[in-house]
Amino acid sequence: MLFYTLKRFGLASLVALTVSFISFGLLYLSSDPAIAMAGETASDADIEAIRKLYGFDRPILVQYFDWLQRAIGGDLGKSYYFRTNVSALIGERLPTTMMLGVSAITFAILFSVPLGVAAAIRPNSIIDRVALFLSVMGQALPSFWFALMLIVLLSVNMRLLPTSGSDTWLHFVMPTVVLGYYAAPAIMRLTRTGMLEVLSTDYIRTARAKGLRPVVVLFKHALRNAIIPVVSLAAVQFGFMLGGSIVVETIFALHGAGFLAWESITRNDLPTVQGLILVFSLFYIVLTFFADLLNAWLDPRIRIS
Amino acid sequence: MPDRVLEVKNLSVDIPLAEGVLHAVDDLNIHVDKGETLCIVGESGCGKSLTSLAIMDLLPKKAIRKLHQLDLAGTSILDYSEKQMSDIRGNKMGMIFQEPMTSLNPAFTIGNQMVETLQRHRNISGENAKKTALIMLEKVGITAADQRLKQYPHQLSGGLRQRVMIAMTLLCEPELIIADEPTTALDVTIQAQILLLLKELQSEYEMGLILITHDLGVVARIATRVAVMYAGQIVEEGTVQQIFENPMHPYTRGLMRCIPVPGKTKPGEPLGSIPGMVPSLIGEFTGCRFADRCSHATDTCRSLNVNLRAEEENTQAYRCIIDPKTMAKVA
Amino acid sequence: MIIGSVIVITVIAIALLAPLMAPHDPYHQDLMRRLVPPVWDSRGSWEHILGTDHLGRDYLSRLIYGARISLLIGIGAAVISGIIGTFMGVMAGYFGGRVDMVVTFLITVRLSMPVVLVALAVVAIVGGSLQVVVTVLGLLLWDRFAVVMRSSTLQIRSMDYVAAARAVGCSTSRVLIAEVMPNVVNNLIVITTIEIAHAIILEAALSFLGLGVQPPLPSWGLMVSEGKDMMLFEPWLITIPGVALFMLVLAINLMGDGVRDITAPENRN
Repeated sequence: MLFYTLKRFGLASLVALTVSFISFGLLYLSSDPAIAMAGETASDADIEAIRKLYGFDRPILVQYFDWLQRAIGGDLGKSYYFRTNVSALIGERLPTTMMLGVSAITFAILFSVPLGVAAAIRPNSIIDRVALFLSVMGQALPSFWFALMLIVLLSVNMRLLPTSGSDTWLHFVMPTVVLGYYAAPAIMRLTRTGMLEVLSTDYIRTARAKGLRPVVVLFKHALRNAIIPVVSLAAVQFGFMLGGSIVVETIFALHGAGFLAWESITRNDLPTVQGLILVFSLFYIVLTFFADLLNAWLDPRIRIS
Repeated sequence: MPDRVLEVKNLSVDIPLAEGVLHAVDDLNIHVDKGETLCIVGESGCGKSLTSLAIMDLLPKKAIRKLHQLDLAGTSILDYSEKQMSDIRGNKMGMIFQEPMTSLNPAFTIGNQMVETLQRHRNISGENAKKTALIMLEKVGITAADQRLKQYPHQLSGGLRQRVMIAMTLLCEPELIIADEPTTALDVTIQAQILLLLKELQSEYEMGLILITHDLGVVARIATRVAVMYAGQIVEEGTVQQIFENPMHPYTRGLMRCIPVPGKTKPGEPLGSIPGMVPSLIGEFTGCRFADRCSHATDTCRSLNVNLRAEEENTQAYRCIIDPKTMAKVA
Repeated sequence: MIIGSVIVITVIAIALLAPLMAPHDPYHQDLMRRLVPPVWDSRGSWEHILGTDHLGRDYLSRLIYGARISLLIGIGAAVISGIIGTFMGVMAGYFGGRVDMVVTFLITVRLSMPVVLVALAVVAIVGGSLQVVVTVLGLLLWDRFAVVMRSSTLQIRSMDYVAAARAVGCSTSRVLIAEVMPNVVNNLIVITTIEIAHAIILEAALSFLGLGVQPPLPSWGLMVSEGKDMMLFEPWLITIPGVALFMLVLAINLMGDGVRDITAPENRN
């Protein structure tokens, strides 16, 4: 287990390093960051001054290592727009996004795992068909449009929920649903196939031959094994959700990191965008790292080998 | 018959398929007495495993079981609900499966899986259940049993896992054990050990044992009685001496020719084989199911359904109309 | 499957024949006739069956031309990512070892980058246009191709007939083209449909956020975005393009599921 953990950690660090390089390099996709920073109306002298000030005139690798060194120390540079520290800015906005992400993934899991289990217990039953129907529909529904339709329906027509802001938990209901439904079909399908597969294994037959009660067979012996791949998937989906929060937060005006990303992108605030990409990626890497460990812990075949 | 552990009458298993109904097991009668080993022999697909699952009421959902009598230790369990059946399974009757590698749940320790079986059927504390499990593991010849209890199935070899399966099945001291090809997946040397173990334990606990196998060598060593199955039917049934010394059904005879006999089979002499293939069991079948592969078959064989019957009180029953004397001549 | 195919083929036909099908010029603004509701509304008219938008452009015509954009971007992005992903996946699955390690690593790196955010950032930096959106999505969506192609190549590679082909001395490229490709092509088709659908949704989302296809092009995502401000009073402005988007993506997915069921019935569950 220790070796496994170290190996995973090494891999995760390497991925993080590569991602950091890419997110740094993105800045150089535009012809000249100094121009972007100075704005369109700036004079040549202003641009030159900015270039010197921020060190854009140095070789790109030197700039990267310089940036990386500071990034590791927690300094992601200064926002062009807010003129404050990017890390502080992100730190301020991240809790909202995290809260949204956690509630969305919880919603997705609570919705899709029981549905997947129910569908697997009785394949081709009504429940199975309903589950399949919902998952096919869910996969085709564009989240931004779904969000708008919910607003029209629930907020405007029925006046049940507030449309925008993040003051009360009610403000999080629609964003949670919009962010969460997109992950639900995949989790539902994986739970269903996993359960179907496990239910036809020899050890389930053994469990039944031992006279164990159906509940024990289903939830102890079957679900425990079927859930292992679902854990990985849920982690991956959680990571994707943070990326997807940009759409949801923009529509519902939730002032989280996703909204910040949209603001920064439209304002050409490159250091903030760069920092956000890095933070989101790192979060995904850390998340999948822990999911791998959790997986190994759940599956004795990996844990003890 | 106070010592009768199992009585099965008129068991049929039908499996509805797209092409028609597959009559996998047809009108089968078996019984097992206390301390007796019944070996069910036959090639793969003849319905041996379905028979054992049908007795346990563990058939796949789509299979249809028809049965006139099912008694376990003198009690009819034919009309038992699923709940009542589960009270019996692992308690009064247990089953050992073919694949020790996959028959134990990889996510739980050996101890966990043994203790849960005991606690399901006995009102026993976890501590005591663990002790019983430990004793049982030692009984099946597992060394360092207290260590094994904490281990996961993947940490044990196939032979060890099968011993664990046996120990687990014996925990509640069942009246009947059904072992479905328990040694097929194991190395040859381990096979002998496991069989020996089964036989010892059987006589110690005076259980009824149904051993399903396609290995006649195993049958000769362990069986009290033998039932030979072909294409879903028992074609011959009798004591081990009767079957081995004087096989009556052409199929049994064919099987016997397939095993080398030390001292009798000369080096270089080809072993027997049975030509042809098992007929499809989809739809209605008339006549002897072995007719197409039988060198003695007549038109009568192909049109007449023959019952399993014994010529005399103390001979085996078989399902064939050919006069054994003519059969001996041709063979 | 059949319904899906019919819808997809219909949309392709509409997209190809857009100039013939569209009743009006999708770019023609008629400021006197702004926000005319669809024909089923009491204020609607047959002149503009699906009404007009905030600039008085015919909504049906824009919807028809929008199908072109969606399909173009969906197919374009899927082709680019398909080429990248298939190449990487087949190489990794076939050669294994170091090649596999590198490819698996690249897949992990790609997965850890947030797609929407990176796509938005790149479009913002480089500038939004049809070509940019297709390229960016194509460069971002190859992961699933690589993952699936890798595992199916791995599976095929261990089959006896591939081993036999290698044993009789067939060259690597010959084995890849003659033995491996035909057997992974089913999976390729299924993934392609999934990614076309994926790219169409992403394009719509990018355009909706204002950083995808730029106005006045009639992208469905853009139409939703333009109608958003008036959705409380004229909900059909977002309902119509949204439903179109939903139906197209649904149809493509159904078609993909159908292909999978036919080619690999054992994977149905």
